[in-house]
Amino acid sequence: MKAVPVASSAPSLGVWLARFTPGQGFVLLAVFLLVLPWLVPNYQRVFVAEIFVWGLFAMSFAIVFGYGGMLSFAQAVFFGAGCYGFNLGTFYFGFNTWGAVISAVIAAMLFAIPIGYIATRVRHHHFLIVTVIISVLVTTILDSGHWKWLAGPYVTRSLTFVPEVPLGIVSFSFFSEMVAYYFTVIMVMLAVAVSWLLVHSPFGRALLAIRDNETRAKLIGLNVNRLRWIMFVIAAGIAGYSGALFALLARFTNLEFFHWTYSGKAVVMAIIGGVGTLIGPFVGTAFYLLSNEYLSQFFQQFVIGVGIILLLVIRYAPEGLWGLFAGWVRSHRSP
Amino acid sequence: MPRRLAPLQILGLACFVLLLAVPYALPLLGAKFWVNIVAEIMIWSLFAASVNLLFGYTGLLSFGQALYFGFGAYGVALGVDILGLSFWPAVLFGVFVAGACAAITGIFAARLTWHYFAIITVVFSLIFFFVAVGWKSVTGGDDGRPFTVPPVLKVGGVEFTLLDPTFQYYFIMTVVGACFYLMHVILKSPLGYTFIAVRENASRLGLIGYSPYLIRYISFVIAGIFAGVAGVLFALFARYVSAQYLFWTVSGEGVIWALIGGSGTLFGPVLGATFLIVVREELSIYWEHYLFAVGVIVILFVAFAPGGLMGLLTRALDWLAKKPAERTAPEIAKPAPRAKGPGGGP
Amino acid sequence: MSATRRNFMKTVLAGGVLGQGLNLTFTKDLFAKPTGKPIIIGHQCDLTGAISSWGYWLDKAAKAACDHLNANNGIAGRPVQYVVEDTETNPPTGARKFRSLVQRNEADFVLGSVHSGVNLASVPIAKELQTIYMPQGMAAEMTESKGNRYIFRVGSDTYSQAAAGVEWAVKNLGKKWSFVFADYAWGWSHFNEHKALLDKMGASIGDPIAVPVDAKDLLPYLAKVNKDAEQLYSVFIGSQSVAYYTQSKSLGLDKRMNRYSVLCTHESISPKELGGASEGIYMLEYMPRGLKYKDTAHNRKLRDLMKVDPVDGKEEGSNRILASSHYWASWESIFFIQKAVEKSGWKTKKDTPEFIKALEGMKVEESFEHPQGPKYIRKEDHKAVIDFYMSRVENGEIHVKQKIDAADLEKRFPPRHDFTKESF
Repeated sequence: MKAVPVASSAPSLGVWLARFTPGQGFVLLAVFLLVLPWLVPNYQRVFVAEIFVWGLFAMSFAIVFGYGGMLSFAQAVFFGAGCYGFNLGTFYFGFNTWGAVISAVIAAMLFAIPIGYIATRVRHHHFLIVTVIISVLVTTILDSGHWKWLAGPYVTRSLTFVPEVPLGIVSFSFFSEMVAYYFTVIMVMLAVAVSWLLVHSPFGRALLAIRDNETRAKLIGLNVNRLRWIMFVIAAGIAGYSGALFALLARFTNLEFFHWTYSGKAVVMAIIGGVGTLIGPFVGTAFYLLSNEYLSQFFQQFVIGVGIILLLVIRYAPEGLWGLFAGWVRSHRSP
Repeated sequence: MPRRLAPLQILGLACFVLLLAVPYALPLLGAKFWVNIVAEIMIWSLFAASVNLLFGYTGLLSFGQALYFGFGAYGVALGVDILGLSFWPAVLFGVFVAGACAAITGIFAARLTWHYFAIITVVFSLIFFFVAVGWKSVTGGDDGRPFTVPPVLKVGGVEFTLLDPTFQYYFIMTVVGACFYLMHVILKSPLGYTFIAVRENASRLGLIGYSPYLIRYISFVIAGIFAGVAGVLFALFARYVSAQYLFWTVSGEGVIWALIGGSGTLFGPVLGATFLIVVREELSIYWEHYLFAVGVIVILFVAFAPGGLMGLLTRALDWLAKKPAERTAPEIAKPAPRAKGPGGGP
Repeated sequence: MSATRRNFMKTVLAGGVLGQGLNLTFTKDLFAKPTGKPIIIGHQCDLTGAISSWGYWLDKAAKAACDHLNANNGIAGRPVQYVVEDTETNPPTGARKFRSLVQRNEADFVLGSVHSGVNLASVPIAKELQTIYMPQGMAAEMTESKGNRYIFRVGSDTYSQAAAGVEWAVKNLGKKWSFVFADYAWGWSHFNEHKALLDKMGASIGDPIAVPVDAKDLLPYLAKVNKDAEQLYSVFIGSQSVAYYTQSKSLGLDKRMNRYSVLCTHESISPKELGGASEGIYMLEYMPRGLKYKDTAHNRKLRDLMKVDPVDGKEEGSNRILASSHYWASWESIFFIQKAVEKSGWKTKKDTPEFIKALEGMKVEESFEHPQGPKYIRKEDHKAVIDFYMSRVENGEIHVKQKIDAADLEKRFPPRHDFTKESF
């Protein structure tokens, strides 16, 4: 080892990283997330938590697209449905935080059942078109003014109180940024774990089979449309769940979250990070939001930068940034 | 084949005659307003046809066709208003600007196929939309920019200008007609067949020595130019441009018109644009939220009649052309040949 | 052209057969009954889309004005027919609807949308179709370089707003200004108009902060606000405006500096519903939302017609908040049309040039027809010179602090354009 010059740190970093097994990597990540809030200043902690929420949203898209092969632009509808479900639970049923989160997930899935039924019946471009149209329809309806009781004045509804997280006898308040951070991260991790189990279950493998060759999947007796539909609804539930987490964190909801351009953001973030994995969308989201945060101060038309990055990624790294990184680490692994 | 196409051709010819008569017939019927609507339908048909050229023939779904439409519109408006060009140079400038924009963005976009192509076209059009909204001093932003249309030509002492609705109508009809004829020529040429070939099986096309990239690129630029011509016409027609022309809703309408009309057929987009614009004009009278009905119509078409209006029409004509004894139920129920997504796989 | 089905459903046709039959039972209406071919007033109104919450009130006020006229001998003894079409708050649609109003519904005069883009798209067509157009949007250009002689403005525009507010604001709120606004035409024109005046007054202006229209989270932009600014001028609309109030307050900007804006950013929004986010903000009103600051018999009568409460301007039986600074302009436009028709002897569209000459320079006194106050339409640039009010949000209500009289204001925004030389 002494023979290795210290200066060549880049390859040695790769070698070092390549030594970890996925399990160890996970522990490392958990420790990192635990320590992270102590390293960042105030306000930034909530920002980091926000990255996780939007990352989860992007992941819900990655499940539909990367595993289900469906380019869905309706994901934002479910995020928004989650926000409104949260409002409904909080303001009309008077649920506590847990109840509101659950009602958010239920609301999103209730939206997804009919939408998914229609959308999963069509293929390719038509799927994309149908999901865009449905998002536009939903936003148009909710914009009509009859939903003010739910959407709030000017389609913005602010939380009038600081949310509390009751846990048995103790109750944590979102007033503390630390609580907000840890609560969000733990909730997001739970969702990721559930999604991991899902995509590695026989169900997830069946979906991969459908994505890769629908005809063959049909021949071996899979009910293609129904499986796609179930996947669509589950992913919608995750999107709604992230909507509720966002409402807790930002303490406001807006009709705009229903808009398909927010789906577009999820698409861009997930693709930049990589859609073939569950961690990729988080990497993409972090990259997108961090560069937005810091670059937009110097460069107002940040969207141009995003466009160029997206082009480069699609063109030269279709696996996304995470895929690029994982490949680089793997290349250092001794055979 | 010729025998089966004949009824459709007769119908087309009849439509053409009707279109010629519009500026004189409609005012007689007391519907002066509809002359302008028909003119507008022709412009949007051309725009929908440019989406269809990519989607129906080359198999690329562009959600950003408004970009070239907007460039054409801004090209002619700024050509007149800032550069002080007269009519024809401004028109050519508009078409050129749209074509140049398509030629540059096409370098990137044509390398991609379906998912990614759709995404990147959305991103391109959003980028330029935001630039146009923010750059108020030149584009007028979302407030837009009205401008004065210069006379088209002067013959002797007579000046022909678009301010005369009848002249404007025939001007638009001529330009749109020429574009459709050009599109017909292109699609019937060997180049047109390679478009379809690249949609059906790009890798096989590569094996026999064609570059799928180049073919997609050519198709992309041609479609951009047609969209640009539509933009030029619309700016002249409205005497106004705004960043709104580059907005995604414009692209989305183009896709929907092409789809409803029947993608992969030359005149399908005309049917789609006509149908939905008439629905809009009549329905919006009764119901402010008529868009909802439009959305439902589109979803029904996508799910149950992927061949669009043109598909329904040819099937209906086929059925009528048959002897009653041959009119069997299964024949009617058979789905029309539809424009398939490229390659079949993801 | 036969009256379309739309007219049947949506117009106020008091001169129609049915109306006449019913009116006969009331003696009061016997001698006030207008007769003859109706005068058609079209309204290109934003009934759906981004500013539909304002459009609702402009429509309601214009409709009420036409009803009032029909009950009182119409215009020059002729009945008034009111036709409304929806712009979807979108310029191409709006322009098409303008054509539809004039060509399909044969409107003689058209009230415009509040969306400047729709207005600018309709301005050239108004001249082509030789139809009077009264836009309600705020862009100054349409009664200046981009306008023409057929365009009249009854309300205010960014030019007159800047002129009205800036003097008071510099004197009372501070000389160090900072600007944050949505990155589109409306925001920039506010900035430019203010900058021109502030430069003259020697006030300092920080770099403008233009926020992309799609930004939901304004914190990164608000963080750029100059720390020693004394006042922060903002121009946002709708939900972005709400986000601005909420986030600028949570950053404590309201403690460090005066927040100042035009009422457009708070139009049809109740301060109570924002949970105190807009508390303390100064705003230029074009007509007070609270009745007590304009407690005249005329204003009370108009607000009764609108069925709104005296403090918040909330509509009876709904959640709608009165677009108090804008709705009166569509009400008054109708009466300006009436006065100019009667003054010029307008009979058909051929007489429109006479109508224009009559309206140019027209002065009106405060009355039920013109409850906002005395005003006059300048000959040169067709802009109205009106009263303004400097107000502040206090305890969830909007309170007037200072009235800015039209008479004082006039010299502060001299005409920049002259239409009187233009041919018809």
